Amino acid sequence: MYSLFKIVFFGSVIILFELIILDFITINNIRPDFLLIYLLYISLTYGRLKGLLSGFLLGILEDFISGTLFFGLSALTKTISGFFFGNLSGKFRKINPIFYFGYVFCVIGFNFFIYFYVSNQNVFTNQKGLFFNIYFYAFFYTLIFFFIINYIKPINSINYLKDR
Amino acid sequence: MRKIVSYIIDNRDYVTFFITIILSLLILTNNQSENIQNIKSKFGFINYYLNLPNMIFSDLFYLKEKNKLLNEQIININLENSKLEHLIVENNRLKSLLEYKENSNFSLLTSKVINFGISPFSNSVNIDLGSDDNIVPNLPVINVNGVVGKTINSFSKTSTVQLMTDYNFRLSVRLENSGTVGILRYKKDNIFEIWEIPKTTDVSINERIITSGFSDIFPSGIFVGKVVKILEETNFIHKIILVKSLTDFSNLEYVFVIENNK
Repeated sequence: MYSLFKIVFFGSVIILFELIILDFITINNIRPDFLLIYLLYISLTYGRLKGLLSGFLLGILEDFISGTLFFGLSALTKTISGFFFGNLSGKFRKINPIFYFGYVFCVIGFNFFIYFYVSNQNVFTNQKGLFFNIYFYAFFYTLIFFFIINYIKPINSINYLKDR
Repeated sequence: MRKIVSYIIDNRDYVTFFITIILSLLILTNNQSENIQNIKSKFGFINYYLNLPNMIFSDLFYLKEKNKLLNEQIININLENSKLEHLIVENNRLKSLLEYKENSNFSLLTSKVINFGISPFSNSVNIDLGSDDNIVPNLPVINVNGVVGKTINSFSKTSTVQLMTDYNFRLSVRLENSGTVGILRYKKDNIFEIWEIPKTTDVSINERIITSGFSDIFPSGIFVGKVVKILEETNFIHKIILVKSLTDFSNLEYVFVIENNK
């Protein structure tokens, strides 16, 4: 329970950080999802259960802060992501790195797809080219920050905690 | 019973996953329900307090009050000007056929943009006015260069504004010279497009686009942008008009909420 509070507290700090620096890193209205990268690290550290619970709580928090029209959508996508990221917890040395990172990218891509599809169905229906254009921009922009953060703190250095 | 409990404990990951997914879907599908709106407004303080450091941070760099007053004066003059220009065109076209009733007593609330929304896809900003200042969802938001967006959420001290650059934003607009009405939507790079313009309509480059007034939210005659390109494909039954907004949506500082437009 304590670690969940800790996770949400640090998640709030990341949102604060995001709010302050967002103006400087927004390119063509596209922003990276730092909270998703944080969720990846949390899920890998604490496992599937805390990963999905953290995803749900951080998603709700993000929905509050962003004031989105689709309240609950971030909670949904981040719960799914937290669950699937958590599947990789403690398995870095057991899985082929290509498959490992491929799985991470797929989950990030899936997260973005659900989010963008639900919130922009009319764009998907009428302008598929534009839909995938923005989708891939946001996806790769987040991946760039993932690689930077992974360079600073590699995910293979994460200690797998057994207090699940 | 014991078997069920031990099954749940053994599969708590999946059970929790299932419960949280159902909970998220319930929240999502009941987005507009009164209960969800109540929860959102009760916990609106989270939004305010998380935005507080950012507000303090940005206040250090701006002379708030002076700018507010000056900007308010500019917007009022520009709105007046926009209205007058529109009236001249309208009067020339309709002359005695129509008695044009003017209701332009906008009550403007000056608001500072606190930050841009953190969602990677939806384009929104948070402003420092909330339900305490009588801000409710679906109020028009403008700045000196025209329409900016509309309010979509209001918490006690802050509100969220959906920008025109959001792909879900639609605005009923009018070509000022011909009076033809169409729906404006965002394309990219500050360019918007209007699809529903008949090929017979005369459109010129730099023609002003204004709000049509066919909306419960936006009053008529507010400047939106200028025509920059006209696309006439042979296989299209309509013209596509590209419009450029004069607002720099990536650098919004102050905006004005039209409190009541009647």
